[in-house]
Amino acid sequence: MHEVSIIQSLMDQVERYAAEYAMTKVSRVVIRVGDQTGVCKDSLQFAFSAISQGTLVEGAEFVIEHTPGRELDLQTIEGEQEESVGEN
Amino acid sequence: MKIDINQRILSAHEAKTAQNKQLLAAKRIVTINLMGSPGAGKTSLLEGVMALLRPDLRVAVIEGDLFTSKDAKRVAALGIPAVQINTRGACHLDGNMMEGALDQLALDEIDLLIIENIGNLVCPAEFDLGEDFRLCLLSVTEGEDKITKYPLMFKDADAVVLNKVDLLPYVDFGLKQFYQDLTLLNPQATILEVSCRTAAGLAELAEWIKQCVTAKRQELARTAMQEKG
Repeated sequence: MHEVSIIQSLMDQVERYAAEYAMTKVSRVVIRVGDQTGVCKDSLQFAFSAISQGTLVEGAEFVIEHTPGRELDLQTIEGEQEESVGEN
Repeated sequence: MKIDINQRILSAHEAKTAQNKQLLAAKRIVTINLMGSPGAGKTSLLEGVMALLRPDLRVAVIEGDLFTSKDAKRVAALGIPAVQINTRGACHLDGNMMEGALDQLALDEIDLLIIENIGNLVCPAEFDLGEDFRLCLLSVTEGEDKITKYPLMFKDADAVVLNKVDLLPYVDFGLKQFYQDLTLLNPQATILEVSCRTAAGLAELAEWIKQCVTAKRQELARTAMQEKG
């Protein structure tokens, strides 16, 4: 159940960074989840697709990397930038 | 473009929790996070132990539930300041909800704050609320296998309290297995047997809570001394 609030926090974070870098679309989000967190990966996937709908993250590839500890980290995001900002 | 972020996903919650913890320490309030299944007897435990704590400590309670203020009313009926948090579906309390609840309490008039978390053996274990001590409640009707089935909950507990021991003759609770599994998983935990119905063991629990308060106060005093130089 708390996977939904984890994804909610993740989405806030992703949107903040996307805005900071003037991204118009996020195409890939990579997170790391430790085995000792007790977080269900399938529920994360489900919550991600549900909560990202209607945002600039919708349709993005969601990659969950496994680690042995208690990590719960946003690693990287990839996306397209506004043309005026990019190219440098 | 690709951005490397490498940041905790729950960093917003964790920052809020750190802030709450600082506030509680500044007010010299000792906090206990009380966790356990629905029906384990968390509110009954509070009702039972309160009379034993009150002569020495000013206690307040934060009650977490999905809906209703039934538990806060039960605690308030004892004359204890109680704030109800309704999560409306969320399975745990977090830093933001705690901040809202702390706002409603007269923090200068509290020695001990007990947070009764949402009845759930899974999610609350994941969300540190800035508490000083974790008290996990299990009742004999739930079965001894819960220790190994929900290790995250019991692994970090400072005390595990086994409730409803008056029902032991009537249920198939493996008491020996319970002790074996728990000591293996969490050798540091204090283990107490109680019955909120008969009041057995509640005096020992009250004693443990008082010891927590003393230990935390000594720690706060030490820190204050170090800061002074």
